[in-house]
Amino acid sequence: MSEITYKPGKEPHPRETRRIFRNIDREGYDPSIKCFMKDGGYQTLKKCLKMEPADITNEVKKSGLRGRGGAGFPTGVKWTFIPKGNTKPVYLVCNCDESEPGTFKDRFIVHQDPHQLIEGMIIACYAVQAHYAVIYMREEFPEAARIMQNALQEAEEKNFLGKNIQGSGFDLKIVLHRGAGAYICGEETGLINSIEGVRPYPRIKPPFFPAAIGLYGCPTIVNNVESLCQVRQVMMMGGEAYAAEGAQRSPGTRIIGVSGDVKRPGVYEIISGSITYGELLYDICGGPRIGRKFKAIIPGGASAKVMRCDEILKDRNPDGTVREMTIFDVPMDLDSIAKFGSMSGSGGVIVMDDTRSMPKVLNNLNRFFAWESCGQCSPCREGNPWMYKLSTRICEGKGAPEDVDLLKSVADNICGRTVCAFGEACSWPTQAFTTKFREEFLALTKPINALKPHSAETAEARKFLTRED
Amino acid sequence: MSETTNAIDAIAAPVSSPGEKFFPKFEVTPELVAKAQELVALYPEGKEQSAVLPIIHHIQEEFGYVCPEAMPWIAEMCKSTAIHVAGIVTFYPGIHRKCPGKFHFRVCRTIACALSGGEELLPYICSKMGVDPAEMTDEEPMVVSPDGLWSLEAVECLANCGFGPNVMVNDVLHSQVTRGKIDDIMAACKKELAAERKEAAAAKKEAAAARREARAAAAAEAAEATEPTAEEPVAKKTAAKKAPAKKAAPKKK
Repeated sequence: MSEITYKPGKEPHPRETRRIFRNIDREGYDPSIKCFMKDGGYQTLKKCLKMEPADITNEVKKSGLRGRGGAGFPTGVKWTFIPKGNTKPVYLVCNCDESEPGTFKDRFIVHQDPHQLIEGMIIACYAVQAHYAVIYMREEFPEAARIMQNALQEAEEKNFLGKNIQGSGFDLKIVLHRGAGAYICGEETGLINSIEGVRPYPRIKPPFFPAAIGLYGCPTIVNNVESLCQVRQVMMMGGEAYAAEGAQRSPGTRIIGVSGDVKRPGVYEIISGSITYGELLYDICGGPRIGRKFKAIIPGGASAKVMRCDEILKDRNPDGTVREMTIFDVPMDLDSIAKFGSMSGSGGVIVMDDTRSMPKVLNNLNRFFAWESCGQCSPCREGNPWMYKLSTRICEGKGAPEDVDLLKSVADNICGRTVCAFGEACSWPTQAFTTKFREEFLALTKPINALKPHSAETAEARKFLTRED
Repeated sequence: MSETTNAIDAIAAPVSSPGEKFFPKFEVTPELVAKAQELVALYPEGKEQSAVLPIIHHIQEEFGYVCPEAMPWIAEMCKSTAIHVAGIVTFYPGIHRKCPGKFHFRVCRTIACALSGGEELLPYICSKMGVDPAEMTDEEPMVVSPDGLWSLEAVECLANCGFGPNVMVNDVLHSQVTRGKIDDIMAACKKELAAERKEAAAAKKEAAAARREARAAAAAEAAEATEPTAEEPVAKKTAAKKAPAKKAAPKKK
């Protein structure tokens, strides 16, 4: 294959390995099918259409590919959850509702290389024998929706979609469905409800996962954009070759989006586990801005627990001895960071330096979660605005020291008491921020505030509570 | 039926907005019905309800927002009920129940953009647009300027976190936005509007010229005709008047 040149100023860092992002910011590359096919596109699909569907699933299982949407569930295993002897139609949904703050990888794929996703989708649909698939795209990508619609049309004209694809006898229709700006639609059952045209309230998951009862009550596979592109990559390389590369339990490449207080924020594709957080932030991203120091890192999208940069993490070596390290020594794969109580999630790293006030950062996150709660479960619907109110009060200097504990206790009581994972997503930041940066929260509070009314309404209400006899 | 409509009125009472003058008023045309049927046909048979969001998006593109009168029609198209459509419309933050301005600014205020100064842009944009920042509340995050040209909405994550602050103007995303860039964007918007108005004026002029020509031709024809009937030139005149007079309505891109 010929040498790839990238647009000036957009060249990948030497430590990057561009696979999914091969054509992103590439010189002379456009989202047309002509460009994609000239580059060897749709060849993998042609190869796959000659294989047995079960063999593709096995290959993906062998590769150890794990979903890139945040939960990291093995993709191949998910596909096998379709009940045996199923007679209903099977659906495949591509989750392109990238809405986790800090994550911005799918944007580049759907804007610049849509056919890569379509090819991955067709392969996945063939593997699970789905004849109808939906790309659920968030409303904030109107440009991408146009590009994708155009790409789908092109693929249909070339008979990669539609009836009897490339003479294989396999039919597939892909529909682009646009969301309308709700974070909860990134949750797979909420997303399914959104496609069905009802309010996107997440469904109760166990015992029935979407792979058994999903869209229109039929088995449905929901995969992230990057996961589906990785499926194409697996079929291109072969499952074993894919599994051999990167971290043992999460092989392949990962796309990391870095935002916040670093010199060079952006998206980087690396081999999973090949570098540490320190190497990512100092080598690739150029370190903190001049005269500043790193203070905290949110390692996997806004809902991951924050890590202090000066925190000492204790890890056990294989021989049983204890090794001390900081967040900068943790390798960037899906599991390493989980040992220290956070998660690597969707690969959105948000960095904060020493000029930032942590209560303010938490207040911003709390507003986000309070705004985005779907309102189905009471703990989340009521708890999130409460947490937002509390953190606002603390930030404004009107909080009492007890408020910090109250804030944490509200979070503790949301966690695990909701239908979907939003309950965890919204309470983890509060739990982590208030424990790890407790002194900063306390510094903003005054004991006397406990005796003062919080607002004009509470002052009014107090009149009725105080007896004057 | 009337009960359903009443329930809708209670939930989604019409909200007037100065932005309305830049968009056509909602009306059901054969083209609109055809588009809705096309969208419904994308989904499996018997699942017409899935087309609720696509139809709403189409209506927003055409008319700027989803007015209460549109909801029963959407319901009819999707074989759903009006109250169900109202439930969808009131759920999503991306669906407007109030008409935005001609140029709709969406400013991201979530963590990554906030770290790079997204929130500080809001008061500046407000002052440029001539709107009161205090009007932007958690319940109604969108404000429209009195002239209907601008509207501003503080939104959550636009998924371009590495390159904040991000501002979306209509369908176009602008990243690493500064105050200077806001000035440029607004100047470009005004230019676009002026060009559009010029185009509309030119079209109007052209239509008028065509009308004049047609009238002259009709008159000449009438003069030429040996025995002109009374109705003929009048009928021609009205036909010529009707044909080219369709003014292009300004549309949100």
